Amino acid sequence: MDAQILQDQLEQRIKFLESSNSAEHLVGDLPARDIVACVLALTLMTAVLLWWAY
Amino acid sequence: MAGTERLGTDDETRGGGPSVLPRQGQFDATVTDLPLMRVERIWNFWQHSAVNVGLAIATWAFLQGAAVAYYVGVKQAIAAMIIGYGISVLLVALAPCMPSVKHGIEQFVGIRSTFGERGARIFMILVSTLLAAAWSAVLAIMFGHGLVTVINNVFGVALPETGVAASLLGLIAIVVSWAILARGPVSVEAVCRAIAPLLILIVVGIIVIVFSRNSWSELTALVPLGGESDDPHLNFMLAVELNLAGGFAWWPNLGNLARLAKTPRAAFWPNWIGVFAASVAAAAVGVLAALSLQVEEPTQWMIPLAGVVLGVIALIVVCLANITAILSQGYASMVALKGGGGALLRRAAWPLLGLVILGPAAVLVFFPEAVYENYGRFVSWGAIVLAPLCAVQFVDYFILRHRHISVRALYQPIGESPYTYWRGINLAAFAAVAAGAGTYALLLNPLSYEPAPLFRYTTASLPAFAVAAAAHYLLTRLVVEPRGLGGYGLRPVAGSSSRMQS
Repeated sequence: MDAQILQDQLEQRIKFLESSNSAEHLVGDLPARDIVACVLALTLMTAVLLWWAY
Repeated sequence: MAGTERLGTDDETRGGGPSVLPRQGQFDATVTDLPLMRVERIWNFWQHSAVNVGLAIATWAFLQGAAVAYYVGVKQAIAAMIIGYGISVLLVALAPCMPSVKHGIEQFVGIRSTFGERGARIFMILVSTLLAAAWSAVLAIMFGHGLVTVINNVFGVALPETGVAASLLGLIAIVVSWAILARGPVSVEAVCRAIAPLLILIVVGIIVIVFSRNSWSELTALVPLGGESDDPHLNFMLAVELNLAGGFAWWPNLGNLARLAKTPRAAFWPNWIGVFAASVAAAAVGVLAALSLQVEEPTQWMIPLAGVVLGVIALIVVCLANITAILSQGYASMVALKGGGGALLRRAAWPLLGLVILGPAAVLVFFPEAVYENYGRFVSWGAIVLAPLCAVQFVDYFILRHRHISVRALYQPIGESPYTYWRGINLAAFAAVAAGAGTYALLLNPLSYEPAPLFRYTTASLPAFAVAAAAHYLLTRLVVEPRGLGGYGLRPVAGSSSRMQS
């Protein structure tokens, strides 16, 4: 792919991302409750498995 | 703008998105290392899950299961796999995936903010070439073993399954893979799509056969392949470590998959369906087969389980599946090398890039004891780097940068970018990775696989992760930030999520 096309595309994309409506182009952050739910489920599962397998 | 395809209007763009997006069919940014806009993301939750499952149910799951079965029986193997994979998949589903999905950035471009541009390139080449070559060699050797077994059964000969014949057949697997890769991504996708359902059929077939011949209580009474141990707790911890390392081994792949997801949840949760649940399920099948037959080598399971005719057919599928796994791994590495390997590799022809990845594997197939016959050690060689690498990336993105990266700075040249550090390398991050790797080596000798006394309480990957994370945090706060390096003081400008200022 032509290097100039890539450079132009890059510059244009960065401008969009830095524009005042950048939220339209970015994906948001993962909600913290998803991570907390995952950690809690993993902790619970680990405890149950240790009890079951030991 | 000269030289650039015209960008579409509201009506022209996909999904009626904003007026700034490239029109479909004109410029496909997904095959470049450019940041992807939100409407360019192609995978929803289920599409990402399907790809993830396809990657997870590959022949390496059989090797993983057999390696775990060496140390523990069925119940402890299942527990060790769920715990080990669960922890490491959580970490790799966060550290490389979340920056990639939020900003649409290629994974190795993303770690420029942590390691500097040259530092990121060092890791990219290390991970993309050395690990890809080693994994390709493992799969090619498995191909060789499988095909020797097929030849022996079909032609009534007795070739040794671990001799030169297997290595030569492994070399053929590498050459065939290179020939397919040289033709580009379309042929890769076509071959992979045909093999994946057959492999799932084999996994289901093994479950049915094993459970039709053995009751659950019989299976749980089976002793590990390594025999009864004097220290079963240590064996359990070694099994957990194998699975932690197996989970961290996904680090090089998952960020670039997440980059294509439409939402953060569609980037995060499919990892739990694919590289966690599907990997654990396929590896559990490997454990059941290995323990019920008391055979560690996966290519030796098929004929005893399914008879000569079905067994040979299954083996041929497994051999082909090894080729598809080499293709998937090789293609991802080639894309990474082309995008981030510097001007020289960007200009390199596609077949030459294939040679860079598969050339070392062609040599390694003649040294099966280095990788295939010591699978556990081989996986730990990956974890010794990948666990600390994941830790440094995690702390840098989630704690030190509060989940904000300047996309512009990622692409600015060394000297201009706030992510320049010391001539393009963040020495503090490298020191943190080295501290983590050293911790790993102290707890589990990567050459002898001999654990230290403390290992039985901690594993090796988790302390390596913790030490690297702590070292990176402290070094950044005490050394990097006071020198004004790394752009840690940058915060998003009000109204823009990506434009940063001090």
